[in-house]
Amino acid sequence: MLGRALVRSFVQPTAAITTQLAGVHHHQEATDMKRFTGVTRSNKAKANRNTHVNEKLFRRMRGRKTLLIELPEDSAREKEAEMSPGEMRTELLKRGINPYKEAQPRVWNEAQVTFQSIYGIADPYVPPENPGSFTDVNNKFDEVKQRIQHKFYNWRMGTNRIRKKQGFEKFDIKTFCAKAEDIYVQAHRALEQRDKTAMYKYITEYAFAKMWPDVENGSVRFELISVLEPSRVVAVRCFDNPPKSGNDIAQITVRMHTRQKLAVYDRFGGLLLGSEDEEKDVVEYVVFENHIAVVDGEWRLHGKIYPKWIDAKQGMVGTQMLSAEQVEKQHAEAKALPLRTTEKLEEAKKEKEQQEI
Amino acid sequence: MLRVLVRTGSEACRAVSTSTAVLSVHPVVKSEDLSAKEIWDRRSKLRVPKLQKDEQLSSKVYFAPEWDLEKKPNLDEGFVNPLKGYGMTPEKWEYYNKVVWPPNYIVPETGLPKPKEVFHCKESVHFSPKRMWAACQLVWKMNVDEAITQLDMQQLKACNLLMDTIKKAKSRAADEFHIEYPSQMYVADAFPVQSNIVKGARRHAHDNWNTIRYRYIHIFVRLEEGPAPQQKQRHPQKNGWDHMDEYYNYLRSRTVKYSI
Repeated sequence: MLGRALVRSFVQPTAAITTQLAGVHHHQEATDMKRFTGVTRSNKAKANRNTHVNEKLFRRMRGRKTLLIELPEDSAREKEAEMSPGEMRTELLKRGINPYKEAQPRVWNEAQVTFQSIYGIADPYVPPENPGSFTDVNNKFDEVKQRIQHKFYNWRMGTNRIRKKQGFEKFDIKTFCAKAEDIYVQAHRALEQRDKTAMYKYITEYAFAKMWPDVENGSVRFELISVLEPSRVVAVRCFDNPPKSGNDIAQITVRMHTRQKLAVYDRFGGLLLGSEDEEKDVVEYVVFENHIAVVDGEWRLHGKIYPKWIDAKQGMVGTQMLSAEQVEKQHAEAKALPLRTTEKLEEAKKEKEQQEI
Repeated sequence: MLRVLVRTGSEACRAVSTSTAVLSVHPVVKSEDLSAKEIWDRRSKLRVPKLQKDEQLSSKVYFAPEWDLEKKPNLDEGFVNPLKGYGMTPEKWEYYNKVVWPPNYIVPETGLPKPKEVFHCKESVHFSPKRMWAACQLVWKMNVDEAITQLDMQQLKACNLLMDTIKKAKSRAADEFHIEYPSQMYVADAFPVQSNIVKGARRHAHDNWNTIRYRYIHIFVRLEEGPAPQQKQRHPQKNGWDHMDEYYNYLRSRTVKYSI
C-alpha cells in the first residue's frame, strides 16, 4: 500500500488532490480482482471510507461555491446608540464613509417654541422671612437695600407696567391671591387626572415639561385641605419676549402657606413619596404667569421658587413594610443595650460583696 | 429605621373599588405573607377555562399613552399593511413599559398587588430562532440569578446571547425602573421572533443554485418580581410517589363483586 501510494503521488500529482484515497484493507482481497482494483467494497454498509480525511480535502472547495455577501451586523442599532461621537467617527471611517461630508446627525431634534411664556422664572429672588440682626452692619445694609430695590422693581417693572396694558387697567394685587389659590388647586387636579386640556389651561408649557413626567411614569394624589395663612404676593415682574418687542409677559410670585396631602406613586402603584392620609403644612413660593400682551390672556401656574436662604432638605429615610416573620423576629430577639453603665457597675459591686460574704 | 404599616379594612375596600366590574373574591393580604405555592395557586386559577358568555371583562384602570395606528413600521407609502410588523415587535414590547397602574392597585381576581415587571428586547441578532427557542425554554420561569448561572454553564452561542439579554434586563430593572431587589425576579417570558431573512446562494453541479437563509431574530425577555413557579407546565408532573399513591388507592378501592 505504501509503495502504491508513493507511485501514485509521483506519477499523477494532480489526481491526489481530487481523488478520494482508497486502499486495500484485507489480506484476502488479493484473490478478488474486483475488490483489489476497487470496483467493489468489502463493507458495503459503510458509505464512504476515510471520511475525515476526504472531508478535509473538500471543505474548502465546498466553501468556495458559496456566494459571499455582506451581512448586516448584529444589533447594529444597539451598538451605535452606545457609541461616543469619537467612536462613531472611527466606525464610519472603517466603513469608508466620510463622517463630516456624507453622514448626518443621528438624532433630528425638533422643539416647538412659544412666545406666550418665558422659559424660566424672571426674578427668582425672594426676600428672607426673618430680617437679619442689626449687629451685622454690612449685611444688614445690603439686605435693606435689596428689599427696597425689590419693592421698587415690583412697582416699576411690575404693577405699573401691567396697568398700562389693555384689559388690565384695574389690576389689583390684593384680589389676585384668591384667584391664585384657585388656579393652584385646579392645576393639581388636572395633573392628577391627566387632563391635558385642563393642564394647558392652568399650566404653562414650562411647568408642563416638569409636571407631566410625574403622571406619565407614575401617579400623583393631591388634596388641599386648608389655607393656613392668607396668601401674599411677594414679587411682580413684567418682561417682554423677545426683548423690546412689546410682547409683554407678567409673572407674579405668591407665598402660600397651606395644609395639604400629597402622595407620589410609581408605575406599579407603589408609594414613593408622601402619604395619602397624613396632612402636611407647606410653605411655597408659587409663580404665576400671564401673557398680558393679549386681551384674553389668563393666569397660569408657571413654577415654584426654592429660596436660597431656606434650610437644606433632609434626605429621605428609607422605609419598608415588614412581613409577619420579621415582626416576630423583632419582638423575639432581645439585645443588650449599651446604656445603664452605672447600674451595671453597681450590680458588679454587689456580686463581689456577695462573693466575699 | 423600619416602620410597620398596617392595612385597614377601609384601605382594602378602597383598593378593591378601583375595579367595579369584577368583585374581589379573596381578602387583600400582603404578598410577603403568602408562600410561593399559595401565590401561584391563586394565579393558576385564572387559567381555568370559561365560556365566553360567562366571562366578565375587567375595566380599564391603567393609563397608557396613545398608540399611533397610522405609523408604519417600515415608513412605507400607501395604506398600512397589516402583514408588515405583525406579531411582537420591539416597539410593541417597549410600549408595555409605559403602562401606569393606579395607586395601591391590587389585581381583583387574585387579591394580590400587581407584581413589578420589566420588558426588554435585544434587537436584530444573527442567529437561528429555533435554537434560540431551546435556550429560552431552558430559563423560562426560572429565577433570574439561577437563569444566568445556568446559561453561563452552557457554552453555546444561544445561551450566551440570552444571558447578555437577561443581564441587561436585570440592570435595567435596577437602574431604570428602580426595583429594589432585582435578584428576586424571575424570567416570566423569553422567546425569539424572527425579524429578517437575508438570502444568500450556493452553487451546485449542473448550473444549480440553492438558497441560503441568514436569519435575524429579536430576543424578547420579561422579568417579573416575586417567586418563580415550581413547574413550567400548567400542572405539576407526577413523580414516582404520586404514581405509587394512585396505585395504592386503586388497590384499596377494589371490591368483590356480588359479595355478601
